[in-house]
Amino acid sequence: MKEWVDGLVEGSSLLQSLPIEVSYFLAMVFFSLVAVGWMAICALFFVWLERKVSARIQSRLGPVYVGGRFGWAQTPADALKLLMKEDLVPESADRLLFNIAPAIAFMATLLTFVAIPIGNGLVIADLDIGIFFILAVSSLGVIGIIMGGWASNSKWSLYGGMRAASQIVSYEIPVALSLIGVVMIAGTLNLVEIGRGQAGGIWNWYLFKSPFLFAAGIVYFIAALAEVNRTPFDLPEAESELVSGYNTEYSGMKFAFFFLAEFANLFVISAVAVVMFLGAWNSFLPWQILPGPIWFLGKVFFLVLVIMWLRWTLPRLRVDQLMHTCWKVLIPISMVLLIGVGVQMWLFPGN
Amino acid sequence: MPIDPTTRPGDFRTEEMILNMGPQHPSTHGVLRLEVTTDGEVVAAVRPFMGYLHRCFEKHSEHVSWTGVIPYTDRMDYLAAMNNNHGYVIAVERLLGLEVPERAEYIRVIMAELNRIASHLVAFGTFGNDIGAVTPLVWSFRDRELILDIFEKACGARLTYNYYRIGGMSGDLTPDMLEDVRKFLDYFEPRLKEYDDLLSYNKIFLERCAGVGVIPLNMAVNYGLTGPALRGSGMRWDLRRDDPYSIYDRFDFDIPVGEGRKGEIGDCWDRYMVRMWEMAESVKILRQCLAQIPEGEYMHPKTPKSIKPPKGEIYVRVENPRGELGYYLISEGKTSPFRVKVRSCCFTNLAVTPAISQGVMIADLVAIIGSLDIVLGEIDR
Amino acid sequence: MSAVKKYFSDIYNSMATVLVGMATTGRTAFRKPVTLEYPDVRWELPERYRGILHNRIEDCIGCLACARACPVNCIHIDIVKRGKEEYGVTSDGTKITQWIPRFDIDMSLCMVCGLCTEPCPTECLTMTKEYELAVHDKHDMYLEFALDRDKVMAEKAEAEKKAAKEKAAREKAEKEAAAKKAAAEAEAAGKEGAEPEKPAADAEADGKPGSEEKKPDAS
Repeated sequence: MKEWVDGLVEGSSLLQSLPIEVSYFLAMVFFSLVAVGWMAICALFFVWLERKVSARIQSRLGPVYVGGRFGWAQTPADALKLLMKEDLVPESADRLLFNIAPAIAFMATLLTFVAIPIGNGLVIADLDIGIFFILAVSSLGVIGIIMGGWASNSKWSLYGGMRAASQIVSYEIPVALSLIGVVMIAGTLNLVEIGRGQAGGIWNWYLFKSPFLFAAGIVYFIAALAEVNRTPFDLPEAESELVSGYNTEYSGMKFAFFFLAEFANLFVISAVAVVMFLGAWNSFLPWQILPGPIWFLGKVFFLVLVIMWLRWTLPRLRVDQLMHTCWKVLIPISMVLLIGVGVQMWLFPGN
Repeated sequence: MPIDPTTRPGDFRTEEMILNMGPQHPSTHGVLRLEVTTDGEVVAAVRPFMGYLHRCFEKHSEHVSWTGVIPYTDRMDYLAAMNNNHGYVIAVERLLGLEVPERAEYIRVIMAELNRIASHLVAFGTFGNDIGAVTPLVWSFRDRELILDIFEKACGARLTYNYYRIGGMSGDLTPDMLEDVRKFLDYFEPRLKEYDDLLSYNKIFLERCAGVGVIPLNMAVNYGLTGPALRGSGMRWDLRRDDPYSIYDRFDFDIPVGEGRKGEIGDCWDRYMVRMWEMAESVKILRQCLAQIPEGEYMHPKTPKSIKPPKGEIYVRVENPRGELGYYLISEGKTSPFRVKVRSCCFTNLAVTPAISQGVMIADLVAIIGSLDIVLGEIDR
Repeated sequence: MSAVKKYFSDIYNSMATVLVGMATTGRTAFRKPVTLEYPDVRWELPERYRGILHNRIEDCIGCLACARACPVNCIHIDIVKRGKEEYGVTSDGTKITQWIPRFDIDMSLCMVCGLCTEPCPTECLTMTKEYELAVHDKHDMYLEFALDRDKVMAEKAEAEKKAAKEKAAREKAEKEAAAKKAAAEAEAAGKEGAEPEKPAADAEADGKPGSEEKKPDAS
C-alpha cells in the first residue's frame, strides 16, 4: 500500500503540504482503522451466522427479533451490551496481566488482517513473507490466552490457559508443515503471488494440483481448527469441563475482546485456507466472471459455514487424545505429504 | 512470589491441587459438589458432597395426607415423575389391599414407559453435552417435548405430573391421546437411528467413552448399583421382569445389557448405550400397550375418600429409568403416613464415583458423572 | 501389522463418522424448526392444563375441602356462620350456609399439583390456563377471592366499635372515680402546703380527660 499512499500524497496538495512522516502516520491510522472495522464486521457477522446455523441444525429459529428481519441486529446489540457492562476484575487477580491479556489476544488477530489479500493486490500490507507473518503473528494470541488464564487466579482459568498453551503450540507444527507444501510449489511466501499463481480454473488451485496437497489441505483445516480452539478441539474453553476455561473470570469489554478475536480467527484461518488451497480470489472457471473479492469472500463464507457445521455436530476430544491426534497423526502425515510434494516436484519439474 | 529454596532444577516439588467442582458447575447435573484432588489434569481422588437440594421430603410426608405425598414424589426425580408416582401409589394400594382397574394399569404403564423414554432422552442429551456436543441436547429436548405434550394433555403439567392416584389415575386417556402416543412412536423410532449417527458411533465420542470409567460387575453389585448402571456392567437385572409389578409380566421385551462392544464391559459407553437400547424396548412395550388397552374404569370405584391404610408397613420397589426406586412406608392407621423412606437409586449410583474415578482425567470425570445419570433432586430429596 | 492397521482404520473411522454426523445434522438443518416465536405465537393449551388457581367465589360454600387437601397449606379460608335467613344458593343449587370473609391462595407457595380442585363439591375452584406466573411484586402472587369480606368486616367493625364505646364509657367512669379520690387527697395535702403541683403534672401525663378533670382543682 506504500505506492498507493505515495500516489495519494503526490495527487493531493493538502497532503503535500504536510511532512511525509505525517502523511504516513495518517495512512497508518486510516488502515489500522480499516483493519479493526473489517475485523469487527467479520466477527459480528460470524457470531450472527453461528447462531443461525446452530439454530437450523437444532430445529430452532435463532434470533428473529432484534432489527426486524432475521435478527440481524442481535450481535451489535449484544456487543453494545458487553461494552456497557461493568468491568469486573477479581480481587485476587493479577491486575496488569489481567487487563492486557485480552488486548494481546485481540492484537494478534488484528495484525493478521493486515496481510490477508481479499482480491488481486487488494491488501493492506503486501508482504513478501506474507504467510510466514500470519503464522508468526497468529501464534502470539496464545500468550494472551495463557496470560488471561494465569492472571484470573482461578483454577478453571488456569486449566484453560495451560491447555491452550500445549494445544496451540503443538498444532502450530502441522499447520506450518501442511502450508510449506504450497509454498514449495508456488515458490513464494507472498500471499498475493500465491493467489495469482492459482488463476485460470479450478484445476490450477493448489488443492487440486496434487494429491499430496489435497491431503495437506485437509490436515491444515483440522490443525487450524485446533489452533483457534474450535470444536472438536475447544478444550481451552470446554464449557462442560472447565466452566468457561481461560475466560471464566472475564466479563464486559474484556470478554468482548476475547470473543471478537475468537470469531475473527475464524475468518483468518478460512482466508488462509482459501488463499493457499482454494484459489484465492480466482473463479473456478478459466475466466473471472465476478470481481475477485466476491469470490474470495464467498469461499471464506463457505469454509466458515463448514467449521460451524462441524462445531454443532461433534463432541470434544480429551487432552491426551488431542495431543495424540497432533503428534502421532497430523505431524507424521503432514511430514509424509511434504516429502510427497517434494518427490512430485522432482519427478515432474515444471508442473 | 519468593522462590522456594528447596526446589532445584530437576528436583521439582509438585503439589496436588484441590479443585472444587460445583455446586455451580455446568456438568454436575444440578447442585452436586465434587471435591477433586488433581495432579494436573489427572484426578487423584474425588469426594462427592450432596445436600444442596435437600427439601425434607421424607419429613414433609409425615404431615400431609397419603394422597398429598404424590406431588412431593414428583419432585424427587423430576425427570421421571410418573415412575416416582407409580412406585408410591403401588405401595399405598398394597397397604390398602386395593386392586386397580385394568385400564388404569395400562394407562400407568403407558405413562411410565413414555416417561422412561423422556428421561433417557435427557440422559442422552446431557451426556452428549458433557462430552462436548451441544446438538444432542437440543435434539433430545425437541423430541422430549412431544412426550411432554402428551403428558400435558393427560394430566395438565409438563414436569411434575401428579397424575397417578391411589386407586387409579386422576383422569382417563382419551382416544386422541392414545393416537398421539401412536404418532409419537412412529416419529420417534427413526430418530433413534439419527441419535446413533450423530453421537453413539461417532469416533470422537467412542474415544471419550469406551473403556472409560469401567465398573466391573462385582464392583457394581457390591456398591448396590441398579438400573442402566448395573445393566451396563453386564447384569441382566430389571425389576420389570425379575420382580414384576403392575402388569409388566404381560409384555414381551428384552433387557439390554452392556457387552463391551467398543471397550470393556461396564464402561461409560455401555451405560450410555443401554439407555439408547432401552428406549427402543420401551417403544416395544408401548406398542403392545396400545394394542391391548381395554375399555373400563380409570379409577377404582371403591377408593375411600379419606385414605387410612391399616396399621402396617410395606416396601415396594419399582424400576425407575435410573434404577431401583424403593418406598418403605409405615402406616399407623392415620390419615398421614407415619414414615416414608425412599431408597434412592441415584444416591447409590453416585456412591461408586470415587471408586472408579481415580487416575482418570477431569474430562473423564465429567463423562463418568454423566454416564451414571444422576438427578440431584432424588439424591438429596 | 495390526497396530498399523488400527492406526489407519482409526483415521478412516474418524473421518467417516464425522461425515455421517455432518450428514445427519445437515439433513436436520433443512427441516422445519419446531420452536415458536413465543410471545407472538402461543401454543394451544390442552383442556386439563394446570395453571394458576381461580375460585368462582359466588359458588363457593366454604367447605374447606380444598384447604385440607392442599399439601403445602397455601389456601387460607375463614368462614363465619350465616343466619338461616341469609342462606345463599350456588349455581348448581347447593346451599351456602356461611359467609367467607377470607379465601386467599398464596401462589408463591402453591406447587400447582391440582389436588385442591379434586374434592371441591361445587367445582368452583379450578385451575386456569394462565401459565405466566411472574409478577413484579411478591404480593401480587397472593390471590384474594373473598367477596363477603366487606360485609363481614363491616359487621365485625360495628361490633368492635360497640365494644370500644362500652369500654371507653367504663374507663371514663373509672377515671372519674380515681380523679375524685386524687382530688380529695390533694386537698388534704394542700392543707399541709407541701407540693400542690405534682398531682396535676401526673394527671397531664395520664391523658387529656384526666387533666381536664384536674384543671379546676389545680387552679
